[in-house]
Amino acid sequence: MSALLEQLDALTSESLAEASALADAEALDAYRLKYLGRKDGLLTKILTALPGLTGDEKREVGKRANVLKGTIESVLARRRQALDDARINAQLSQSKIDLTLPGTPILRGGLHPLTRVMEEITDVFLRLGFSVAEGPEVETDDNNFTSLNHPPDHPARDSHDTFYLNDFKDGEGRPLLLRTHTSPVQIRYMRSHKPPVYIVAPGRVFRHENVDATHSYVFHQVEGLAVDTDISVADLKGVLTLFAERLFGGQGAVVKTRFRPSFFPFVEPGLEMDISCTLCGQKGCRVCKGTGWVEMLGSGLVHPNVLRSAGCDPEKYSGWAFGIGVERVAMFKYGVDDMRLFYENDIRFLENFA
Amino acid sequence: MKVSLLWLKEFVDFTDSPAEIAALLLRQGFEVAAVTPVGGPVSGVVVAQVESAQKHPNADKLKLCEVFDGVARHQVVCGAPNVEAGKKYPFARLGAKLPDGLVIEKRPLRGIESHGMLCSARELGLGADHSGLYTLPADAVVGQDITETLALNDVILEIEVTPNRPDALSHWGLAREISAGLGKPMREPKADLPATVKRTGLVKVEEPVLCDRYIARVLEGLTVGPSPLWLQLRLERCGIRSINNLVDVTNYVLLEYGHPLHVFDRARLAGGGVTVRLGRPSEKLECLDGVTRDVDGVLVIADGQGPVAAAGVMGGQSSAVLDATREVLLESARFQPAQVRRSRGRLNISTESSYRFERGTDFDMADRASRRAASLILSLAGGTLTGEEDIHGDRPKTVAIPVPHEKLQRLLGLPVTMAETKSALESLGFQCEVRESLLRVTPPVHRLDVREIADVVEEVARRIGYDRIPGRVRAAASGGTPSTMVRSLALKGRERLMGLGFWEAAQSGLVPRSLWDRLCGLGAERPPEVSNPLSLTGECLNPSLLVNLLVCLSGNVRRGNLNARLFETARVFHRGSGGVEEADHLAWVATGQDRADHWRFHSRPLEVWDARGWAKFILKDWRLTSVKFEASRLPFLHPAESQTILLGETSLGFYGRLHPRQAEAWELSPDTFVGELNLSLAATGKFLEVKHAALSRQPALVRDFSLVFPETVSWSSVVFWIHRSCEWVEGVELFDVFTGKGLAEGTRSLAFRVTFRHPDRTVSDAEAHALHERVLSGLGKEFGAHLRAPAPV
Repeated sequence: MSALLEQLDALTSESLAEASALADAEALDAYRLKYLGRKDGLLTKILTALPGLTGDEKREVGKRANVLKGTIESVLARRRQALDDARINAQLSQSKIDLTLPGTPILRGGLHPLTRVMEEITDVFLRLGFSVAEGPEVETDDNNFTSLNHPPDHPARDSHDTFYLNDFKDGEGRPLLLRTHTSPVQIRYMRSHKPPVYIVAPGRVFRHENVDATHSYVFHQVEGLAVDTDISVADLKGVLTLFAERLFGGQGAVVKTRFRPSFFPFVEPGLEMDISCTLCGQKGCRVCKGTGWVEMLGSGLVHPNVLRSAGCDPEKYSGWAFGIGVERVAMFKYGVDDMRLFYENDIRFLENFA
Repeated sequence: MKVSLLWLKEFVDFTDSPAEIAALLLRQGFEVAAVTPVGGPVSGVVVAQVESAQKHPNADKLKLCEVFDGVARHQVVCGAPNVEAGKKYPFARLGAKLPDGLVIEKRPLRGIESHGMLCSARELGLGADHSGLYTLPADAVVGQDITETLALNDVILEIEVTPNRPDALSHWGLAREISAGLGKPMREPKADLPATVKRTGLVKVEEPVLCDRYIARVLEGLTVGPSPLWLQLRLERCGIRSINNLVDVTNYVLLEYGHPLHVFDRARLAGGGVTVRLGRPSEKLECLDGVTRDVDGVLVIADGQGPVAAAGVMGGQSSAVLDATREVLLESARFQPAQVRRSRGRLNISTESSYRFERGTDFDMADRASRRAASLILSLAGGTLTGEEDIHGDRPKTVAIPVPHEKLQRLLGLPVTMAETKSALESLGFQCEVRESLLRVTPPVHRLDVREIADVVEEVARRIGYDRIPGRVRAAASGGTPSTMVRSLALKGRERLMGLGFWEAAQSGLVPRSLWDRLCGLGAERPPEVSNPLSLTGECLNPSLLVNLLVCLSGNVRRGNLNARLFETARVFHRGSGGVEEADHLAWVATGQDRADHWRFHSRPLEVWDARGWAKFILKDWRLTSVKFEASRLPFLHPAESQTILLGETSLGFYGRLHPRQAEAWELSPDTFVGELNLSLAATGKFLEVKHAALSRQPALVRDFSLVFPETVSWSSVVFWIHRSCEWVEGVELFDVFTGKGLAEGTRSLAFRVTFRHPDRTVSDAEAHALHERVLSGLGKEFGAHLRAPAPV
């Protein structure tokens, strides 16, 4: 074996032994110069001697010298990287931040719970292809009562204590009034649209009533109306049951509905829809008064007199309608026990719903 | 209406539990609000008479009584203050069990053994009265089980009867429903009357349309006194106070048959007869409640001297039954519902009687009720029936309703057989005649509310039950429009304001005049008003959403929400030429700081720039065109820090700082800002279409300027000039405004950046220089702007 090869062996073990001790950038530079320095590098010298060699030896020495060169370069790169990492890490570990401090505050805002509920209700019907309709809050006696089969002197008017207006009268000299329900929209819409009619009408209504935890002189309703050639109680039941499931079901809660006869002058037959009390799972609680059922909405097939007064022939068309109190739903859904809270607009209350 | 279960059982046999009966009634359309047992379960308690009551030798407040219970005499120690020899009380024998579980045992009281206990109402589970013993009337049968004497096993159902079902406002009517539901026959109560003389001249009906039947029966030789206990208990448990046997009978029959009756003391009727007529101007009636009322236009019963009763509403004092009454005229009549409604409205009283007449009474029932009452009076007060008169028009006709069976099934959404339909209707007293597929349905006379096929559908449905009808869901065949333009603008506005930290409020639409005046000053527009406001509502229909929002804002601040922000979308009202004009508005109010206090980022008071930013943000989001801003003259806004927003030439709304005086009046900080937009008007505007504009690949040329302008030059006019006068301007952005040190009085420095971009190529250096010069010299010429002098060193 030639002396050059022995030298290479010695250089290999020496350089590897030194590598582990390289602690800073200066040591790395010195190391590089020692072995790979352009003039005096130990390995450089061997390489510069190569042209003087011949044959096998030249090939052997050349190959092994290049391997050693690669090894040294990679040792240098690794050590340089390790030193750099250590430096950055040392630097980063200097900065201490208490990330439990509050972040940049974003001002929160939100919808009123009544709007949320009203939109949710409306949305269920929009998805079924119903349109949104609206009507004025100041109405005539005719649209609010007579056309809805509440003739003058009818006792059913008793449940509609009414605000009347000064100075404004309808064509028959009766004072205008604040609508007591959203049902006048039925009349207005049918008078201006031929069947098929499928509408949902959210809105604000007024009753001349004193305010307490469950009554308010102003509240909101959503009215629904479907008039077509082949409408039956089955349609009413199907859609309203689906509606109850969408509005109150979800997250594993199962909602049942119960339909029972009731009376609203503008429908015949009239039906009340109860839903199973989701608060107690029908075991009986304060909200369902121990019955397991909660009264949710009034509905029925549109009364022939209403169809007639809106210009629809009851021989040809039938319809179903419902009206639901938004406050009532919101109280049940969100566990609000006093209706007055909705109108105080205390932000602490409103924050619950955002 | 309160109904006694035992009373119902007199008319139809059933053993179903109260809960089962309640469920049956609910299925048939009668909601049962409460089921209340009268007393608790009691055993071993009987009626007993105290034969003697002496002071207990060892106690001042106890009495030593000898009590006879029909079988034996017992020594009983009693502490009740009202125990009295000779009186009858409930007596719990040894071994008796009371509702609270107490078992009566022999026990010594102050050294003397008591063999049983005399009971108070509470001890029998009859309410809360524990002030003394429950005193039984003299006619109570000694030794009788108290459960029977006091009907302690009765259950009271509180039933809600809808206005279309006056026929069910009685025990008889509800028993009829139960009979139909259970398929069991009805049993008529006894009303045996001896034959008597038909009389004439007792009754004169001047208003046959308002009163189509008037039956008078004269009963003589009566003895007025208290009613027997069973009758008193029934009345009281159904909510009617017992008065005397004659009046009680009329109320009893009212509860039983649902037909209101009245008794007049005939000796006190001038002329002994009655006339049904309308009250005349200035006629008055002292009613049974002691109040004298005007009866002009009220249907009255009059005697020879004047009104003695308000027909169908309330009797009068002058002919009321007294202890001395011996002879009565028993009235059973049928008054027109609308007239009774008008009468009670005028008299401003509502009674059990008017409630039923308003909803409609049964022509046939008038006579049955009269007979039943007369027979009860004779059995309770003695006397004889000495005459009767029945004046009536035609019996209301019951008209057959033709019901194509196929249509009935189509409305139900359920196939049913003809036989089933027929049996459902017949169980409710309807007559059915089948002609192939057509059913002719004749309602009974008490069901005149059933007039057409829809009514018949309901009767069938409530008998077969809605549970049987399957649900069907079909998508609407009309192709829904999700939204009106107003609605979609409202939704967008809401979204934006929510994101800006505003909370949505809901309010009533009514405001007190005083608050509206506070906002707009006296002499401002007069809003529409309601004629019958409630004390808390206010009388004005909101012409602006601000008033209530400011009330709520102020309330929030008072409760500690110092940086409150609220908004609302709702209806507002104005007096229009053709009536009340309505519009949907969006309004917002904000007060306090721009953000919550934070350790790192400090808050500052809100400024008009915030308010302007919000307004622009909403309008931009709507993509509404032709919007202009100009100085506002609204009295409630700060004159310098507010603007009116115009759509074309029409006022669309405003924004700005609340006038300092307003801030003071609403107890708000001076840093309170408001805004309002008319959504209905905005919806009529033109909206920018959403279109993609190609992105330019050419480089932008950016030049900064810092120029001194006279203060009177508005920023918008500068921007407008640059856009109009220079080529390739892409944007002008203000980055500094300065007044003060180093600047002449009446001037300000504006620093801004103009971005130029040629659509197709790079702007050359020469062109850039020219543009720069053009801005400088042009603004100088147009507005007197000049470069800001370098600050002195």
